[in-house]
Amino acid sequence: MYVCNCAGVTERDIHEALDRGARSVKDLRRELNVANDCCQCVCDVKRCLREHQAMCQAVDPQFLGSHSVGAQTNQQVNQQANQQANQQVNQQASNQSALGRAAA
Amino acid sequence: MKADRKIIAALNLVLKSQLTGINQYFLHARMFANWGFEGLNKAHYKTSIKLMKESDKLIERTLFLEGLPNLQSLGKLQIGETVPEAFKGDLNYELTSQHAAIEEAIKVSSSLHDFATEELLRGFMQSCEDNIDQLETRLSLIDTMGLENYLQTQVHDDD
Repeated sequence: MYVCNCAGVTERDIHEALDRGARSVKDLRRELNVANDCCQCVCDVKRCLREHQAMCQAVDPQFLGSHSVGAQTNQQVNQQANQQANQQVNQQASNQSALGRAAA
Repeated sequence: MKADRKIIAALNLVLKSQLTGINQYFLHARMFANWGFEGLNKAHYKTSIKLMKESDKLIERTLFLEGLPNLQSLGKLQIGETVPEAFKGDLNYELTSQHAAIEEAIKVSSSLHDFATEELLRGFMQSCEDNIDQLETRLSLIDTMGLENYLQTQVHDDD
């Protein structure tokens, strides 16, 4: 079915955009131009977001993507994950060096 | 003749639904024509024109009742990407939008003793139910004979 008749965007187009990393109505508007003209499709666009979120969570219960407006993008989530990983590595390194000093 | 504001509001809701239907059926008709289903094009085009004539009657009635028919407002079109999707969109439109709006308007006009409006609306209800019947028949035909066989019956030669 067509979701946005103004921009001629189908449900499939929206799901593809979500698979590529769009996480909010804002992201979808930027990418596909949906919900930008008469805005009658906002409810349907949000339904697609909810469906996609439910699907992702069914596959991966740890799925972090939040679909509310102003949510974190995938990049931000990845950056945070990287920072945490780096911190852990640094801690391990400092622990090891402390052990080394203690042994000496 | 001045009518109650509730009647004008109810008639405008029916008009909104009809204007939505005109556009939805018209677009589906031309999409079917584009895909080569001349039979479906003709049927949907006819329904669209019928709705247009009905909304003309509704506009005249609203003006007669000294209200302003709202031609600005339009509902969401449920456009399908395939023939069965288009039928489902049309059926959903008839059941959730058109039937509900007419039903409400009949209730309002009946409760306020506007029997001429009620009669007009009863005529609309009849054609709405005819459309529902036609769409349900088509969907059940697709189920029983298969989509390919059904679509084959809708391809007519141009000559």
